[in-house]
Amino acid sequence: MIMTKQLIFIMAVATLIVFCIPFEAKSQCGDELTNICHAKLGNTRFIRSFPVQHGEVDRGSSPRVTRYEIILNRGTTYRIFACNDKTKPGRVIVSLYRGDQLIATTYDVETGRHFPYIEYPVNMSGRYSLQFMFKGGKEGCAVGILSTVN
Amino acid sequence: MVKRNVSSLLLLTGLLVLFFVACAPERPDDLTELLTDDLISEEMKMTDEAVGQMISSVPNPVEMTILLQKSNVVYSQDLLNPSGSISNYNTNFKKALNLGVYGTDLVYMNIYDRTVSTLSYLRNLQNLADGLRIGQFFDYETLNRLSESSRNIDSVLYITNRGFDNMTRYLIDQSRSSIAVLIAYGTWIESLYIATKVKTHPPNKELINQRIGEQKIVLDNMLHLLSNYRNDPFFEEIFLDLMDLKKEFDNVTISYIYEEPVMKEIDGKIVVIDNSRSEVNINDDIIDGISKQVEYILNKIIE
Amino acid sequence: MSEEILKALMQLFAIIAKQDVGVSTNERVYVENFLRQQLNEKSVKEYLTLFDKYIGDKKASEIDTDKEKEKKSKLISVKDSVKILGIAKKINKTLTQKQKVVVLVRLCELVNSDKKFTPQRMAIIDTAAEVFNINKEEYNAIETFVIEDDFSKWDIADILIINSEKKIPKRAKHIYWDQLEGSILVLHIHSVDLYFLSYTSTRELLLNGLPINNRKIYLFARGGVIKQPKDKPVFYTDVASQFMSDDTTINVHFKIDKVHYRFPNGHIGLMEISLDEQSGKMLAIMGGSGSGKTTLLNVVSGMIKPTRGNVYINGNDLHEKSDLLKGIIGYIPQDDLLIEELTVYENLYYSTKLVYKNLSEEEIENKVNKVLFNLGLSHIKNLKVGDPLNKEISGGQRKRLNIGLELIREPAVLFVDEPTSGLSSRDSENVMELLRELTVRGKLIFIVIHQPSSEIFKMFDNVTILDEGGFQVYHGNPVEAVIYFKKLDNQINSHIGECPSCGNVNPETIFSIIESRIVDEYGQPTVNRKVTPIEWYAHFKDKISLKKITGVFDKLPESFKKPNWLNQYKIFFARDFFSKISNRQYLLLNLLEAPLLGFLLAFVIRYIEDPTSDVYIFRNNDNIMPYIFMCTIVALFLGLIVSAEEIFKDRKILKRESFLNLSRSSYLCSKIGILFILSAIQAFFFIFVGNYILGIKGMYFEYWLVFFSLAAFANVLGLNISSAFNSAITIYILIPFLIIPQMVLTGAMFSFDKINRAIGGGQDKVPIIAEIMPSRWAFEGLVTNQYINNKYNRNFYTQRKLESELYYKNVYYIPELKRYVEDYKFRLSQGHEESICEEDLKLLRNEIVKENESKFTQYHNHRFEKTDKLVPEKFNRSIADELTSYLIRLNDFYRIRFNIVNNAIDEEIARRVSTSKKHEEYTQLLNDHHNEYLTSFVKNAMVPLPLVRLDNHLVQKTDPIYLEPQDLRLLNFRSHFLAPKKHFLGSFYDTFYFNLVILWVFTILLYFALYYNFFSKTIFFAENIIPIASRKIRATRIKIRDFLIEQTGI
Repeated sequence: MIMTKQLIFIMAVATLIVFCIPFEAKSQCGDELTNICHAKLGNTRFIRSFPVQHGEVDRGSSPRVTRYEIILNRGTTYRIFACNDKTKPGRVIVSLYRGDQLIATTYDVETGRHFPYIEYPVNMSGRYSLQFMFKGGKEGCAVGILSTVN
Repeated sequence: MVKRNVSSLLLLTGLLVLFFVACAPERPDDLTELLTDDLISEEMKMTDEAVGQMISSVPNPVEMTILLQKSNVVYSQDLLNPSGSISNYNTNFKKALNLGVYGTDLVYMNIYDRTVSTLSYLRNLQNLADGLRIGQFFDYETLNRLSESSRNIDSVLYITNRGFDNMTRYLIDQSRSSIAVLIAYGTWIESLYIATKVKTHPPNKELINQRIGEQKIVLDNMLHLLSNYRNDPFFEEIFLDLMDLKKEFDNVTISYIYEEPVMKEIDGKIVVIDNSRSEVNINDDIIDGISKQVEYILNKIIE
Repeated sequence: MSEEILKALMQLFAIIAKQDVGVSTNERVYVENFLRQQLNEKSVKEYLTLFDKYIGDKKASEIDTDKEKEKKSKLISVKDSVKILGIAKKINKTLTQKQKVVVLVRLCELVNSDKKFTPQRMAIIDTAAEVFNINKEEYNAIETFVIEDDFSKWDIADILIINSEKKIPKRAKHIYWDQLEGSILVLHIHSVDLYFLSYTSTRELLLNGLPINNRKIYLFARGGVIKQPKDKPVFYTDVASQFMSDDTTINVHFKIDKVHYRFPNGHIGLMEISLDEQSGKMLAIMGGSGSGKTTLLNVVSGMIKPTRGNVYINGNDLHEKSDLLKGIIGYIPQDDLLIEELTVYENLYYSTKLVYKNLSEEEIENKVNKVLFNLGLSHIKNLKVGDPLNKEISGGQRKRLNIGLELIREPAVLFVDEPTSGLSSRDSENVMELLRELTVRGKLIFIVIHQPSSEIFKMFDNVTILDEGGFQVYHGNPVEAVIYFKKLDNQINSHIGECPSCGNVNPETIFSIIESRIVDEYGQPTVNRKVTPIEWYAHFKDKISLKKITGVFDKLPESFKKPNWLNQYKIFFARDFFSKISNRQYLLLNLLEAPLLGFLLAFVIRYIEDPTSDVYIFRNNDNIMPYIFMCTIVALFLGLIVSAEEIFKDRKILKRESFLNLSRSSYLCSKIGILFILSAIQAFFFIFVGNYILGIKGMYFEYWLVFFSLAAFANVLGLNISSAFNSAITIYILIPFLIIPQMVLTGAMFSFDKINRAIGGGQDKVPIIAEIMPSRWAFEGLVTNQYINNKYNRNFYTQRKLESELYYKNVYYIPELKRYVEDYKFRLSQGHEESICEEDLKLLRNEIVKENESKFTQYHNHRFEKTDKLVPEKFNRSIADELTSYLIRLNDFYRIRFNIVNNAIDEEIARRVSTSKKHEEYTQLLNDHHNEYLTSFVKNAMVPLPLVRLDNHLVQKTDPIYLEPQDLRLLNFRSHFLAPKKHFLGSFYDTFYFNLVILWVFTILLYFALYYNFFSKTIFFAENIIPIASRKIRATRIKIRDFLIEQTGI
């Protein structure tokens, strides 16, 4: 008799906990993600962050692209990192352009591999742009970090 | 006796009521027009997004300062905006510009490891940011603590830069991109000022001069950004000043040699091999001219 | 006598003496003796020489013929008459009437010394009498008194004859003294109330201890005693009573009927005391310590109600009809009831004013002077009373003044507690004489006395003796008391009451008999008494029957027409005011304290932030907010300290004045009036100095108002504790307890967000415990006022408030609500069916409902209509989506509006700094009126979270100064700390004024607590609760036991 009561009590409490206190991994989108990404920088110096968040794209439409213009200087080696929020389905693809010319990208279409960063020793100062999108147009949250190698 | 007390109680109550009556009238909020005027236009919305994309091209003061440091440029406090000037910055316009100026100063001090001096500048940043209603982006407690230990300069810079990034993004999200532009402009002008004022010797001098020349590219972007707000007389003024600076920069020529860049995978990362080159043609006279105009612009900003 | 007068007198004497045949030896001797009485040897010679000089030119004429002498004497007397007139007029201007009468008597005496009553001489004296304005009858009386030897001629009402004769002239008064040889003559001059005395025989007679010369005229003054050796003395009062007809005293029958008293702690104070007395008697109450003397006095004077038994005055029960009867009772306690800073005259003056309603100033003056005269204090009337340590007047004089304060009321019955304690024997006799005189005038006086001298003991008509435990062991004639006890003690010589050879009755004998102890085998006294109090009491009841007094007694007069409330107030006020003013130290200290403190505080905290600059900038002084806090604390301290001792000091006086049935509220209000004035002045000085030094511009009046109000509160609080406690030290110990909690809970030192949650910290309103701290109300009022109404900010406040509201909604509030919805959606996407807590839903519901009703809704017209769906049963994804889009629309509205308002403010500022001159002005305005630290304080800039969840509500923590009160229930007036407005009964009020009103409400409540003695009653209850309760419990237990016994028969 008493055993049953205790059991019921425990179950009630457990249910309450389950439903009111989220114990699932929290979404890392935002500053958290930037911090995590920053930790991967290693010996490089942080210049700028580019957070990106896209929702799921309707079937049939082309995936959404976010563009940022940057200026890179001759004589500097830059690293462009890409970090994903793992709680979301989408994986980010970062591409570096000079004008319309693609210079590099973190995603190899043939092998389907995602690379953590692009390293670019610059000899030509000028306008470049970073483009962000998520593979398959899925919902995603990511951050790109521009840093310089010492 | 009771009658006496009742009457005095009545008298006192009467006084109280008088008090209430005298002080009750509430100040009418004739701010209804502020709450009803329809001042939104679609154009602005477009500009916000575009601004957001372009503003990231305004260089971070870190790059310039690292270059100076690597070039063995000596630290000079005199180049920075005096901390006390902050009491003169009353309008959003002035606050935003100088937020950028002090931001660059802070980076400069941190890179040169002058952490003691940073305290009043941090306070200034906080003050100005609060005034602009964007104070929530700087974890001043952490910055302060970190500043005290030189090994954490990298963390300090990270937090500062990230703070500015977030601030910029927030302003754009809040449709206050003009403020973001001003901050960026302030940052940039101050870096340029410091770069043009430092004393160096060849070969470092060459490197620095080259970098100064390359700012020509930034200037164009800057003009583009500022042009959005030319209807505001204050913006118009700095736009015109910048145009004058452009004239100086027109003397700088940059030549480009284009090559095809190659993307290679090395050790699990992508490395680009690019043989494209650029050359900057600049001399001391041009630097002088630039320097003078930059000084002129900056003085107007920080007065 | 002054030199001038003496010279004039010498001249006068000379003129009289040289009349007719010139000065005789007797006359010269008379003059010499006259001078000797008042001057030293050297001066006597001087004046005598002068006298001789004035006589001088007469000697030469002794050789004249008789006829020539006659002619000359006539001529001379004319010239002399003119001189006499001149001298007399001079004397008239300088001497008092009394002194003139004395001079006249001396002139008569001079003439009488040789018995030469020539017409010329008499004429001169006549002239003098006329010029001196002495009335004819009195002059005749004087003449008769001085000159007449014939017994039968002494038939004047103003003459008293003391002799052993039975037959005396009809109109003269008589005291029979069978042992006396010859006669003592006493002349009473009514107009100046003087008595002259002379003795016909040459037998030894002592006046005030010195032998009387017969045929010499003496002044018989108050306190004087005529004695024959080994005989009963004749007192001044005995003489005076013959001439007095005081009909202002009513005839009183005072009956004490089996009065029994038990103390609150259970001990017996009085054991069935009874006695009967009437007017014109003086009764002593005596006994050892602990016998209940003072208790008896307190009971029969009406101050304590007896446990059993009654006290009747003319048939009326004293304790039932106390209002009626208190008017005829006077009580003079052992302690001084004098106001030490005032003079003797002033003390009486104010007492008189309090007693009589409709007297003019002149009448009051007369009354006071009369009492002073009767007390023999006229010559010191302008001396300050001083305290017992700094004596200005002697102990005896103080005592007499105390008596005088009661005499003003002319009570019919007087109760005096130990009038002679601490006085010298001379002073004691003086005081007892005074009381005796009062008795003679018809009063009934009860005196508690301890160890009286034999003289004093015999003055009493009756004596009541009490023994330990309140037992009455004797009542009756004092001399017979000795006999009674001796008899009971079976001593030899018991029938001799007095010591036959010395006339002394030793009251100590009585007590040594009563309290004698059993001796042990070694002859040492033990603790045990020979006869216990109960045994004495039994003897008393057995052997002594009290005389019952019968007769018709007057109806009692109506109670005094005391002055009305306002006049009482004025009198109390004037009395207190002048008493304080005359205490220079007190005044100086209290008035200087405030500005000095203000200066000290402000000077120390006035600092310049920029180490390189010399210019003080108000804006950058971080100490302004702490300064405001200190203002409240200083106000409390000053207010408390000034008032803490006030009522305590007065308590004896209050006890006495309780007989006057004066209005307690007018007394309290007068005290409060004085204290308020002092507080107002102190507030003025402090604020004026402090604010000026710190550069707080404008708003002096507001600061002053708050400081004064808080000090006023502390004043009334101080009065409360002053009237509740029984010692000064206790009061001062209490002060930190009253001040420290107020310091802690002002909200300045410790933020209400950061105090123990158990007492209310961290919530959406000011913790309740801080709601009862007046310092908090004051501080909040001042701070909000300083921020909102300063010259700079008042231009921007309304816009900035709007900006803050929009900002909060845009940046914190709406995003937080969105988060709840997003979390739900996220959890839903993870696969949980019930992904939202009931509590969270409740919160959403509450907040959305509130948002629907907010003042902004009319501008954006977005409403969420489906609030009823925000319950667990009905909430689902589509509702959540609707909610999200609603919140996004709101967010847009707030964002856009915020930008607009922000821009508008910015444009306004830009306008104000458009030229460099304007910029300078603007900066100056900012520097002078705006304070950075205060601003961050009122905006709660240091709060860890801008928004917190409280149960099912979201509470804004940031920018409290821009946040309106949230709880709008009708009767609720509480809100968060630093709210700019307060809400009550549906309207909003400026915090500053609202808080001020609350402060005054506190003060008024404390006033009523004071009036109804709330605190002293609480303390009394607390102190006595244990004995009272235990007694009651015991009584109940006994009752229950008895009941049980009854029922069960066990």
